[in-house]
This record gives sequence, C-alpha cells and structure tokens, in this order.
Amino acid sequence: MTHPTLHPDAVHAKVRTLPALPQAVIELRSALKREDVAVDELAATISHDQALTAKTLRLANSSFYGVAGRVSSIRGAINILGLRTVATVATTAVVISSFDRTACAGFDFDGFWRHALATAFCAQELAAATHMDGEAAFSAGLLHDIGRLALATYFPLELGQTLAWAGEHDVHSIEAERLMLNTDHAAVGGLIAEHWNFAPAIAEAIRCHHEPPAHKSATLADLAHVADNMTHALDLSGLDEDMVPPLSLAAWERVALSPQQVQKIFERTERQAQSVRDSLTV
Amino acid sequence: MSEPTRSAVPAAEPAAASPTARATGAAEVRERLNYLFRASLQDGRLHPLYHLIQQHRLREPS
Repeated sequence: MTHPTLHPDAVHAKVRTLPALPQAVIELRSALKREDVAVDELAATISHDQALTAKTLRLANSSFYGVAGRVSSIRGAINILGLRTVATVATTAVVISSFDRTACAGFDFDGFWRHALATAFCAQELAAATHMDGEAAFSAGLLHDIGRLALATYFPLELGQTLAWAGEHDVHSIEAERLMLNTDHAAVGGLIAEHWNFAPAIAEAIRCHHEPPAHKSATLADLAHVADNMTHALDLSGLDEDMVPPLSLAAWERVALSPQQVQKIFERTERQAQSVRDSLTV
Repeated sequence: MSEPTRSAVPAAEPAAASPTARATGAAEVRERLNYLFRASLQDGRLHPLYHLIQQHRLREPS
C-alpha cells in the first residue's frame, strides 16, 4: 500500500513553530524551584495576561478543586489552591489552547482531552501511593500524548490515514504510526517537551510512556505508563474503539501497588475525571 | 512494505459507548473488557489489569 511518511525535518520544523509558553507560565514554573517567591509579584505577572487569567480561573473554579465560585483572582487562587496547583492549572490551560482543532479523520479532540485529563489524575494518584511528586506526575500524565495532538494538528492527512489503517487492522495506533509515519507520537511528544523546556523527567515520561526504561525504582515514566494503561482500561476516553496498550511488567513491578491501592486509584481517578472534564471544554 | 498482522480473532462489538453509559452486568462487563483488552487477549497474554478492572466494575458502588 502507499502511505505517508513524515520526514524528521518536517516534524522538527512544525514543533519549532509552536508558540513559546507565555512568560507568565515560564515565571510561574520557575518560581516553584525558588524558596524566595514573591507571590504578589508573580500574581501580578499572571494577571496581566488576561486570556491566561480567564482560563486559569475557570479551571480553578471547577468542582474538582472544591472551591467552585470562590476563586476570583490569581492572588486568590494562589492563596486557596497553592502555588504548585496554580502553576499546574495555568500550564494545563495554556497547553490546551496551543493546538487548534483541525479536521483530522478518526481523531476525536474531546476524547483526546478526556483521556489526557484522566491520565493526569491517575498519575497524580499513583504518585501519592508511591510517594512521588504529584504535580510532576499530573503534568506527565496530562501531556503524555501531546505528540498525538501535534500530529493531528500539523499532519492531519497523514495521521488520518494512519488511524484508518490502524482501525482496519485493529492494531494500536503507535504500531501504525511507526510503520506508516516512520515516527510515533511519543517521539514527537518528546520533541515538544524539549521545545517547551519541560523538566527532563517529564520529557522522558512523555517520550517513553509506551516503553519506560529500566530503572532501580519507580520513575515518572513508569507512572505515566501505568496511568495510561489504567485510564484506557477504565474506558475514560469514551471512545468505542479504545484499546488497552501492552503493560511493561517491569514498570508495573516498580510501581508495586497493592490490590487495595489499585481499587482506590480506580475509584478516585473516575471521580476526578468526571468532575473536572466539563470545566475544560476547549 | 510488509504490514504487521495480528491473529484474526474477530473483535467483539463494544458493549458500552461511554463512561457515563457503562456496562454493569457481569456479561456486559466481560464483553467490554474483552474488547478493550483485545490486543493482549489476541496475543495470548493476560494483561495484569484485566481482573483488577473486572473486580472494580462488578463491585457495588460505595
């Protein structure tokens, strides 16, 4: 069969056209690394970006955070939710609005975001169970498939044909991408993470979420991998044709959850995904 | 180019269309899970999450 192949240069060139993260988000994320954070100054910086402020407040007021209707300013959001959560919320809002909804046959944008959010919440729950960084896990979960979104946005014809082929042969989309596009969404996501200067552990989690590398203890890539599997298995994308990808037994053993922990994570992930997704309509 | 093939096990029709209209009966749950986990089932592997999800689905809501 004839099929589209993406030249690596074309993918790199498109990734470079992605807008930089807004200065306010960059400052917010850098502030998390410092101890002497001037919260008022930071809140003022974010507040000057009206679009970012509106998106952040809408998400902060969602039922998930339990403060619906109470957050009316960025300063208030930081007071009530904390700096780390506001940084995550603002980053989420920006990432969602960075990609236009182009027509790509077989790609469901709403289903994509439902799965991304559910994976973010699941990864955060896994982090709590394994005493890892919950906000980093949330970011890794939210962004793990960002390469798919980029392919749908920038190469809709090629991805559409790939998804059609995957459906016809009933294989996981990553297999079809590797075969037909000569790359895959995890590799493309890794490029985007580097473009946006995400922390190396988050970039690795995005790049390796289908095949986490060997390690002595659980990594962010393991959490993204297991969370991705769990949310596909929980059927949270709402897509009829969903398919649970292969699970790395090594990663599963490193995460080392008890059956009771797993059941609690399932319950909480379902509840959180349901409560927040309506607030993120893009 | 050669195309990857998977053993020709016919995929079951999905039993539940969305998380809000989820299967609740044991047979429906099994049918939907068999569909979601079809890649590992067709390869003859039992996915570690299969029974955990099944247990979760069939449990009474708390």
